[in-house]
Amino acid sequence: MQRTLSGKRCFLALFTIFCCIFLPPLLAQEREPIRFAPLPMENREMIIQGFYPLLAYLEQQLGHPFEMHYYESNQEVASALRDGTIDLAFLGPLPYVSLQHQGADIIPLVFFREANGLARYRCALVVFAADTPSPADLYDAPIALTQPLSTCGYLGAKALLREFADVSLDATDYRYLGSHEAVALAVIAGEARAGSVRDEFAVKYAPLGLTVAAYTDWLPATGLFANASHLGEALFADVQQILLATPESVYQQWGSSIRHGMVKASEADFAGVYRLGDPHSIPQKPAP
Amino acid sequence: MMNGTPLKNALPRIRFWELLTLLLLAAVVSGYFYHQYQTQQRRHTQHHIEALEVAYRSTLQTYRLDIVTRLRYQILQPDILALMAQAQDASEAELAVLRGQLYRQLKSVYEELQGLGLYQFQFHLPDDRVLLRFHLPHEVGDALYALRPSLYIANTQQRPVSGFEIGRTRSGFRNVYPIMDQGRHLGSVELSHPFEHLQTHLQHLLNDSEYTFLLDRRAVLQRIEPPYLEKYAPSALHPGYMHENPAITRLLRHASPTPLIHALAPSLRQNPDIQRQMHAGQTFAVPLIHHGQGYTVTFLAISDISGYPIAYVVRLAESPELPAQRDALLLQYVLALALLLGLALAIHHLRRQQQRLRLYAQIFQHSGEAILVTDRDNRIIDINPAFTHLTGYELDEIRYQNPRLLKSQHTHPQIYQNLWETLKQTGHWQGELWDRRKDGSVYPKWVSISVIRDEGHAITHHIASFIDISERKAAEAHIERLAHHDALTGLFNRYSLESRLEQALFSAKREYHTLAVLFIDMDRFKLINDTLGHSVGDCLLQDVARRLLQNVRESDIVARQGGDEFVVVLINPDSTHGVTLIAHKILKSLAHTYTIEEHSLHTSPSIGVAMYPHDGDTVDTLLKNADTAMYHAKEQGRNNIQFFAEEMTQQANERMALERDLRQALAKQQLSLRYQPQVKADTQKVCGFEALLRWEHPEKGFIPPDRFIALAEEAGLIEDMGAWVLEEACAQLSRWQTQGFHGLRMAINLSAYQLRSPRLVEQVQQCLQRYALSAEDLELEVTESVAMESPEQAIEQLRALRDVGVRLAIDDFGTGYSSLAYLKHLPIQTLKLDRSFVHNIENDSNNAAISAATVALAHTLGLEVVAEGVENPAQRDLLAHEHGCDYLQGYLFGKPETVAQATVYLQQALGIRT
Repeated sequence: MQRTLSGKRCFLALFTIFCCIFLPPLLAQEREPIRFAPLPMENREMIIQGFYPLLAYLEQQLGHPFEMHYYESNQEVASALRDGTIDLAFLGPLPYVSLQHQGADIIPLVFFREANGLARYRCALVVFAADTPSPADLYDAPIALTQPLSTCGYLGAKALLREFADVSLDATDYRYLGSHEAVALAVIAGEARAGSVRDEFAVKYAPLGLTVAAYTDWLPATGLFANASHLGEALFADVQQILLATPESVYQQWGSSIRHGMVKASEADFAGVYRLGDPHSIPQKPAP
Repeated sequence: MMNGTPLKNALPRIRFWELLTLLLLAAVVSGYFYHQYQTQQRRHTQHHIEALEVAYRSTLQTYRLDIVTRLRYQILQPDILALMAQAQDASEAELAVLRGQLYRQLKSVYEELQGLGLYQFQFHLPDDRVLLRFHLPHEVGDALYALRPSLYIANTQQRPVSGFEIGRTRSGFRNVYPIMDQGRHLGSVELSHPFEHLQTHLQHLLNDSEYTFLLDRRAVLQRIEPPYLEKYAPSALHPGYMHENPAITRLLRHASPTPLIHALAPSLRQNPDIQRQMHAGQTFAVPLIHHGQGYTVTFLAISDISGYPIAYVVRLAESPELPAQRDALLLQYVLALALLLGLALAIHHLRRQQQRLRLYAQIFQHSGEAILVTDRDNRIIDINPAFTHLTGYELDEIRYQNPRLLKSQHTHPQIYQNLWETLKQTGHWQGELWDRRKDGSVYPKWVSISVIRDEGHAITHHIASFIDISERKAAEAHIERLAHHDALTGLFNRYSLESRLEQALFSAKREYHTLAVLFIDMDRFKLINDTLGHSVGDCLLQDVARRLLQNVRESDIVARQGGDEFVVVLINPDSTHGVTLIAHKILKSLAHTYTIEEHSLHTSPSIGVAMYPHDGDTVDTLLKNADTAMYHAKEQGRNNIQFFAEEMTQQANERMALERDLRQALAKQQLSLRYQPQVKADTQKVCGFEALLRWEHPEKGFIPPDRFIALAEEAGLIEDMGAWVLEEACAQLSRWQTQGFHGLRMAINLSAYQLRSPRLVEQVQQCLQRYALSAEDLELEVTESVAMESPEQAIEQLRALRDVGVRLAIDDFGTGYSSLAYLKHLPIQTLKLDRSFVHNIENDSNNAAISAATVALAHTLGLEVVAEGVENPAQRDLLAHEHGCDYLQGYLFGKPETVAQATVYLQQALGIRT
């Protein structure tokens, strides 16, 4: 009897050892990373350096790897999210609305607060303080835009010019420069008579003589949007939960566009975007 | 080795100091090669260090020159200086416009600089405010002196400052120039380029290299604000250093540590030398072999503007020569080791050769053989001491002379001819030569000559070794003599006799002549040998040999066959008669008295003769037949010559058969005793018996004693036979006494051999004791001739017997030539008058006179007399009454009877019934 028990114990011990050694590798599946891409609102270096701490934080909290991708245009970012090439994106309201129009199953997770603490912003028509053009000067003048699928791009600029000078954007020599930063610097450098940027960038480049000539209505802030088709909604629900619970001391270390805190995103916030115009009306002018 | 010294002692051993020397040599050679290798490595790494330093400095210098040029011709233009001047006291709103204008003025320049890899382009006001950062235009107005010493120096000391600095957002190689306008300090302008820029140019200058950039961890932690620390990660090379976060640099397309550097990192990190030098901030390079591929990792220490080491430019360059150098070192080690081993073996071999040469020299010097060495022209060049000892010549006397000076003319020229021919053909010759010593004496020597040839097979030397074989030849001659001659007499021995007789027979057959073989046996020699000792016997044999040689020709053969037997072969005798004459001459010579020491000895030969071809034509036949004839001569009474006759063979065969039967007779109880009564002469009453031995042969019937007693003596059976008689007679006497026949005396005959036996007295005593007999009841008889053969010994033995108490009698008295002088000394009590004197005594007056005289003499000597052979009453009466004999014995009183008959006789004679 004793011998039988010993045999059983030995068997159990061996079984346990074998399980401990061989089972974990068999069961362990290398988890696929959450692929993330930001909008190219600034230069590459600043964007990457600004978002890297966010991803590092999420990775640490979630225990799930992240992978950052970089695209040169908003359209590419939106398409990648729509196609599932990426799972998570930092988007503005227009790209999201555009994706909704395309029927993509995109989940808004959080909106980032602006420096003023509000989860909304405005597009601003900026000019160089020393130039201070009159509305008439803008007719046929070079106007700097970010990107076609940027909220402050064609639709935003069109609304601002109408508001500021009652000039049709189509009547100007508008051009896409890729990012808000580029638009601001182009105006400062005198390469454009005016430009359309997020009000954040107008403030940011005010020390270089950039002044706001006009604002749009409030628009929902930029935020994180997920395509859960690949990794499942539960994972992104966790992401949302973590982000909303992020301490201030943490997000203050993040990039300038995302360092002011977050709020939960909602569909109702996007009404202002629709008031800017129909995204389908944006002419297909090539981006820079 | 000759005396059993172990082989290991004979071989040279490696001594401790030699081993130590070899090890030291190995260490020195290894150290040399390693030093060479290290030097090579040092030069190699130094070359890499110098290359990287030169490239690094030239890159920085090139950019510095470029920047200076741009400053002069593009940047510090009057309108820019004017903007800077306005900015000195401008309000914040005015500064904003001025910044924008400055940006607008220099944007194209900045874009050009970016195209060249420049990273930072910024203007500072003298009061430590950032006027404009082209790379971060929106960040303005902040103070940097605390973080950026270069700005502080440039602005406070108004001098250009260059050097590496860790920045808040990015680190780089700074070039800060004060902006001066007509002596007025307007601030400073900074142009910096990051490591990627440096890396690009280093790669242009130093092809096929990979680079990484390490920053001092403490400096990073001191100067980098927390949001920007994410940009850095701990270096895998050293815990005190960091590098840019690869996750970020990958996205930024900046250079980051390559997989290869990551692969090499563990071994670099485990290298204490690297860790130590990095810790000390030294510039160095290390060669490295990873998976068979050689690399050189160069660590170029970068100091900040205060000279404090703060970063490293790490260059990883493939160095395919490193494995080759390492392999070369290993090869050198192996070759050196092989050379040293070879050297050791060579030394070992040389020492062994030296020892061998020393040994050979010792052998040469101490050899017992004389050794002579000649050159190719056969001139003597060396000799050894044994040569001098043997020949008497010193080297100086015979140097460069031809060895023929040793010749003696005693060696046949043919031998010399054979010597040279053999040497020419085989290179070696051995043989006997007769040479002459310096003193003129000639000696034989056994020479061994060899030719020594060089590699080209040409003769270089001859070496001859030889020994003096004078003694050996003498010994051989002696051995030859011992082999063929009898050591005692010098005559031919049996082997030599047979071979010489064989030769003689061969000659006789070939030449049709005759041979006579004389087989000579010395009568009673054994008795002389036994009684007087072997030395006397040997002298006698030597005398016999001399006499034999004196009586034959030199051409005849005289040999000693063994013992007292000699063989003389007469070669080609004139005739049988001539043989007879010579035989008689020998017989006569050998029968003469021999005087040896104080003894006068008498012996005689019995000679048997066999003739070739009549009596045989082989050695064996002739010797056998001569021997047969000799035995026949002995049977004929010795001291005579008998020529072989065919019938002798038959007799000899019969005699041999009889001897064989006699040996068995004892065991088969074919021998028996007969008892002949003795009576008292005066009363005619029986007083005793004489025990007489009889042999009843199962086939041949009764064998008379005179036939088998002599045979028993020759066959060596007589002693046992005598002991048996003594035992049996005593036993019978005891039985008769038991049966009531008392007062009887038993007479027993002793042979000559018994009388000489040292055991006789003991045997007699034992018999008396065993059968409870009185010594007086026993009378031992010896014949007159036996007693006289060796009177002294006989007297001694008889006295001993007499001491026991037995009676002693002389038998057959009167038949020999008794010495009366001796007779009186014999401790005897009885004389037995031989039957020959009793025979016909009643009619023969001579016998009667002898008998009367003998009895009278005996009585005079106090002896009793027994008369034998009494056959009739007349003889009885004469002997008893007239001559006064004491006892009578003969057929008149009774024949020799069996025990039963004798017992009946006793019963009748004594009237006793048992």
